[in-house]
Amino acid sequence: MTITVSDLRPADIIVSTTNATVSTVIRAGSGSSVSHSMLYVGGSHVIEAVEQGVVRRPLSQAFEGAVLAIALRRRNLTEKQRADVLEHANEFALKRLPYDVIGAAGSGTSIGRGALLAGIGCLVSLEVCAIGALGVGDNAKPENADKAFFCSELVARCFELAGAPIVAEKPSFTSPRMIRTAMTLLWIGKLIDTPSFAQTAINTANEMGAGIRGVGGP
Amino acid sequence: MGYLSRLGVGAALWGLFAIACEPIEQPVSGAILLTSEWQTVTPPEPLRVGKKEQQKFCLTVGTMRDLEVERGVALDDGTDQRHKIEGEAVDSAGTRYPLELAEAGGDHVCLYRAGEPVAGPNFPSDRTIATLRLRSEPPLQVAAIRWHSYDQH
Repeated sequence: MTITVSDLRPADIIVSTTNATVSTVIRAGSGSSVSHSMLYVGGSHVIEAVEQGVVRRPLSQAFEGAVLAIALRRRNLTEKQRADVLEHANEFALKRLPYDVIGAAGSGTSIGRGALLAGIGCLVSLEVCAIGALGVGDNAKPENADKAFFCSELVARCFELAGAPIVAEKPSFTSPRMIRTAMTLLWIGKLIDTPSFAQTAINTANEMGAGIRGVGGP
Repeated sequence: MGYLSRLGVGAALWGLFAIACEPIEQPVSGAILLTSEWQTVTPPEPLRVGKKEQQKFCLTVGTMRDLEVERGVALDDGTDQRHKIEGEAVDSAGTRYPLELAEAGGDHVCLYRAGEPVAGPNFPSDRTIATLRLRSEPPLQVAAIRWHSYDQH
């Protein structure tokens, strides 16, 4: 089901991907159809963690190059929690918080395929192993919680602070895939779905097997 | 395969990935006071577009009280002013591209090419950006301006 921005509510989550090399690598590494996540804040704007840090910008810019974008909604979110999610996101965007490059490298390593890839990385290359180890170490430190963010960490942290966590993992270990497949989230619909994005169908099928459920699902 | 060989393969793969994903970032200007008069800023080096999907000029403006830059930049300076910034990029062939303020976070705001984004680079990839024209009402002190050309993930 394809939806438009008018179907979105503030505090909805959008997961997306592009055809750029960096997206391809993230998708391959995480075994997912998505490589990025952002928080819809209303007025056709999102707050997201990008290379320049946590920023607020229009959906049209955030979607540039996107070949797939899916909207998800936290189940049973109270109005107070919705307001809190938005307040925390806005607060993080107002601060000068950098993008968490090392943390992003370590996201997802605490479970399944991420751990397997990290192990292979250590067999193949000392550099890859070192980056992964730094990422895991960095993400495990509680004092690093709100000092820098990667995309899915920001989204997960805002909901955690609002008392409505979306995944069981710590935000610093949350990948876009985990958000895409979280049982706490309701499928709203696809905002973008480029037919040529052949891998989408395969990965979406895999993720369905991982347990995504929702109204009007794929 | 020996460890050195594996190290070499790993380094080569990492290098290819880094080259493919490496954003283009270039300085445009240091501190500058934007006024209501158009000012032309010439970067130290022409700004490369490359084959990256997205381009923007980011201005370091200081702490903001809100991020609704579509209404103007609101600095946390005790006033209720909103600075309306207008911009224009001029490429190496002399073509002008209106810019619009469309991003805010931390201490910076960014100008993108106005209008809906197009598929591929928003400026011709076989040209460079030669100059940036800016003005602000009321005047706005900017600490630095940087150019970013990159692919989103």
